[in-house]
Amino acid sequence: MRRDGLLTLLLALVLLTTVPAYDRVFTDDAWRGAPLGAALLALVIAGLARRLRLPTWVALPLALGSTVLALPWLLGVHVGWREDVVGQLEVLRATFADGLVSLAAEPSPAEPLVGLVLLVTIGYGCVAVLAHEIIVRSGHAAPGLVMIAVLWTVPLAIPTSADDGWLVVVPFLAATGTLLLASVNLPREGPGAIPLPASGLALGAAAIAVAVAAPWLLPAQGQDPWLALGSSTQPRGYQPIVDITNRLGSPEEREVLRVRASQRSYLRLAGLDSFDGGTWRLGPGDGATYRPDPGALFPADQPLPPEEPAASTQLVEVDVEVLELENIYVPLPYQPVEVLGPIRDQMVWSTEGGFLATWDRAEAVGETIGIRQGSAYRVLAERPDPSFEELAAVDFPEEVLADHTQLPRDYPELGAVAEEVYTAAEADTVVEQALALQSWFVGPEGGFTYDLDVPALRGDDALTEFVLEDRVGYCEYFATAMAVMLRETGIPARVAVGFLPGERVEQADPQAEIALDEYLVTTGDAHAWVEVLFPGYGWITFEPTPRSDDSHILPRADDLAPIENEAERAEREGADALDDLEGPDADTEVPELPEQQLPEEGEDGAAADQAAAGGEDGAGANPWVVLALLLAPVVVVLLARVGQRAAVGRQLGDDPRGAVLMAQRRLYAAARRVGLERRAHETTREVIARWEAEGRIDRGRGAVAGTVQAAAFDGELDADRASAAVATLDRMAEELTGRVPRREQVLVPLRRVVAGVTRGVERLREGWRLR
Amino acid sequence: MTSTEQVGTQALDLHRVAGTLQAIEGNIQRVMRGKDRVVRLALITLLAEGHLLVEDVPGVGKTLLAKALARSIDCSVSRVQFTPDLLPSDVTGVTVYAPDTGAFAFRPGPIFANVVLGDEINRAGPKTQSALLEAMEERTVTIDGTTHQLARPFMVIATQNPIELEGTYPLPEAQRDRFLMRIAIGYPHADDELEIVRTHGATDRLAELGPVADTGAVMEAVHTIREVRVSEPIERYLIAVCRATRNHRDVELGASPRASLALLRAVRVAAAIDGRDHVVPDDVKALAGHVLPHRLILRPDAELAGTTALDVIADILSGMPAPTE
Repeated sequence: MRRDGLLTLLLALVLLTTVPAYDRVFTDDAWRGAPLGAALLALVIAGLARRLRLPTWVALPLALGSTVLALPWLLGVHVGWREDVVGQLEVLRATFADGLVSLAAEPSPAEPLVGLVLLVTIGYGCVAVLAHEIIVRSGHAAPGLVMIAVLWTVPLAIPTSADDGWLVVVPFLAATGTLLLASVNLPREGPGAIPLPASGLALGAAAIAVAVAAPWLLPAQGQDPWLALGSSTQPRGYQPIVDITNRLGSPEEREVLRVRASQRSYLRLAGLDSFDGGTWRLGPGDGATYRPDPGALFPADQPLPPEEPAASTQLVEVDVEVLELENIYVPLPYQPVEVLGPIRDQMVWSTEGGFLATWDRAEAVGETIGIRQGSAYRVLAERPDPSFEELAAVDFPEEVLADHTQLPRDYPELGAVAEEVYTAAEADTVVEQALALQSWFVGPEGGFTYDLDVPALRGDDALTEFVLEDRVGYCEYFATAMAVMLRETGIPARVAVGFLPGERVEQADPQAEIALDEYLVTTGDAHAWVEVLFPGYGWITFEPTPRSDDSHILPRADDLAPIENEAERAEREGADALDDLEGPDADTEVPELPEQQLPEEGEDGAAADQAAAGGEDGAGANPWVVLALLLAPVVVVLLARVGQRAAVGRQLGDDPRGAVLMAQRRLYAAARRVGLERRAHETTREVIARWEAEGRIDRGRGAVAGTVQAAAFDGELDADRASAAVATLDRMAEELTGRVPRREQVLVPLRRVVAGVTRGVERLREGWRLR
Repeated sequence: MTSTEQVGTQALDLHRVAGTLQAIEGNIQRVMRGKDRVVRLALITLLAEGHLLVEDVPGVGKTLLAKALARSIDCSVSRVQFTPDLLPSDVTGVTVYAPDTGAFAFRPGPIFANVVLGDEINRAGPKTQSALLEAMEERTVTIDGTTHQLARPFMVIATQNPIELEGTYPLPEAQRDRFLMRIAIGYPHADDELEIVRTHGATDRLAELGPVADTGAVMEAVHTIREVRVSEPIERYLIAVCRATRNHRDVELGASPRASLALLRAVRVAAAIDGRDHVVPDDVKALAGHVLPHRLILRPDAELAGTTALDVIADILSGMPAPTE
């Protein structure tokens, strides 16, 4: 027992030494807590199960199940104690889906996004439990270690820029070696051990095969996955809001875009038209894979039709240079009329959701698609800029309402709050109501606080709780809440995602021939906001998020499409108050830049686009490969058990002794399954005699005990006797199993628990009495 | 000689030894009605070169056992009735002056026999007892500076009457350790006793008993039995059982390493008699209750509660996981 404890400890140590390997693929070490916590928890529970002498088939689900239940807390995505188990699992499911998306979208090293960490955590949990069962319980260190080696190899196989190979390798080898040494001459039989005869080899071989295949299967920086299960030409339902949340959650702010623009404007990725109760998504909210109507798709090498006709607009010109962003959606000011630049040939404009994407182009087969570092393009857009009076006079036709006010369920509390806000603001028209709701969110009366460090917006009541109780969140919360409240009160609204305009680093200066202002957009500028559809004037932006840094642009009744952010506005108003300076910024002239000035797109196309390679609902290859990787150990164990019989046949030829002992193990395992286990103090002879006396097996089987013991204790043993004994032992196992009624067998684990408890109590009482 | 031949020869030897031993056993069983277990234990003691302590009332066949054993292997048997006035030299022998040769000659005592039956050993004084026990242990007797080798095989069957304790010198615990086993013969079964009564006097069964082996065969068996394999799990199990006696809550003094050695010798013989070339845990379980109990000193409170050393061994065996491979 003490040795088992030591082995478990060493196993934990080995798992710990695999951590540096994963550090390579994450930008910081915030990911470590959850996987290590899960591994330790799984080990502790598996260890306890072993001490309680529960068989493997009970211990495995027990350890894995409790680890899964603990995952929301380990990852910090739990939705509070009020939620039941189903709610927690739903959170996990959604996080898992996010993880698969991130896995496909994020190049390594990636930020420790919660979905990615969940995937790693699942891996650690599974490997910890299985390795425990194989190493500690069955005493087969090598196959167990091979599984850990797979865990360790996967991140190492992903190429990143930095490479300190030996630093990663040495601690692992040292710990592995120690464990191997400590496990020499392990007792061959443990309670409930998985009988793994020659399957150690099989397991090891399979694990090595997986490990070798892993580098080609996983996406990596600048490389295509070797095996793409889905066709790359299929439209993908990659959901951009996930991307936004992830970027905001990035612990280290990085510059993603350099933008030169004629005026400050939001860089929009897409408008999300359907709400599934938790997240806003592209396309109709029927849960199916999103495929835009081909009729709504237009090649970007021609002038783009508007998503919604807009009467009053302002021309905006934006040059975008991608610094560090890989995406299939192109950030641009809304709504674009023309895209310039070589990569526009790969882009397609969708008038459903109003986004420019780099997919669904038949010509793009085999080509790398998507924007990435170094991509550059110019967008000319006509920004809706209606007056308050124009909007106040808009009529809303039924079909517009039908299309854009759908919700998965009623939110009566949110509707009531919205109506209260409208009444308090005396807002009668849609534009007034939208403005009233916006100022309720950003103003002091709502009492909302901007904070990134909040649990995920998951669970049925999360949204209501956010609006009515917590009132702490970030852009996704505010945009989701406002859009839902607008829809609930019959106003066509949606959530748009993209980037804030960013920080202006250089001002246009006609004297210095700098025609455009230059902005730097960072991961912190990732944003979500609300758009309200005013037929005839287009989708108008509203901004419900009270960002503390005043970098957002707040539409007001007197200026529904402002170009200055709140910080500038406050500054200007202060200045105005002082000396009542000039009017608003002069309209910026849009100078034509020759197309050649744009950086040329590389022709080789060597760099792959991670974002294009996968999707949550789409046919992306990698999530499945990862799932297969996670399931591989389980499959291998199952295969090993299936292949056991064949192994016995082989062994009998080579090693009659081993075959007999293996048959004995099978007999005892069968007995244990039906609750007739050998008592620890019973010898082979005694237990067979007892079973005979109890009528569990046919009489006259005592002789086989002699053969078994000869095999076990260095006696003479010839192959004929051995094969006869194996046959007898297997027949005995069948007799044992066959003569116990099915219902009795079902009760066995229960009885075992009861017996364990009784024994424990007895031991306790004995202790009291005697000492 | 290659190793294969060695194994073959050895297996053949063990096979022959088993035949010899089973013949001896069957022979004795012909006169010891219904006492198969006692016969087996006595034979094990002989082959393990140990000595037997029989604690039983008179008249259950202790002498018969000794004589039958001696007769079966065609060897000498002697009997010493221990009394308080018995001197050491009465056991070991004396040097006497022979007038005709004019020299001192050694006249061997009863201990110079293959099988020595010491009746009521607890009646002799400590001095005599220890002379006997020393001879048992050393297998030599030194008289007047001359060392005399005792016969081989050599086995003492000593009896103690557990009932009449008045005027006796019970063996100290340390001395009991010299006996490989302590057994009780016990009253025969009713049917067996009927058979004994009917045949007694009609025919002298003992006289009819012929030898089935000689001392040479026995000594060969003793050597061959050392080849019986004791695998590591068995060794560990055996030692664990012995060590457990030292930590048992009812035991004041547990089994010594000599006890472990004795048990190891005994299980080897038991395996050989069964015709096995390897020891199994069942051997250990079967013999622990005979080899260990007389070496234990129980706590007074346990003794008062009626616990016996045999109970302690049974308790230990029922809690000790037995190896199966």
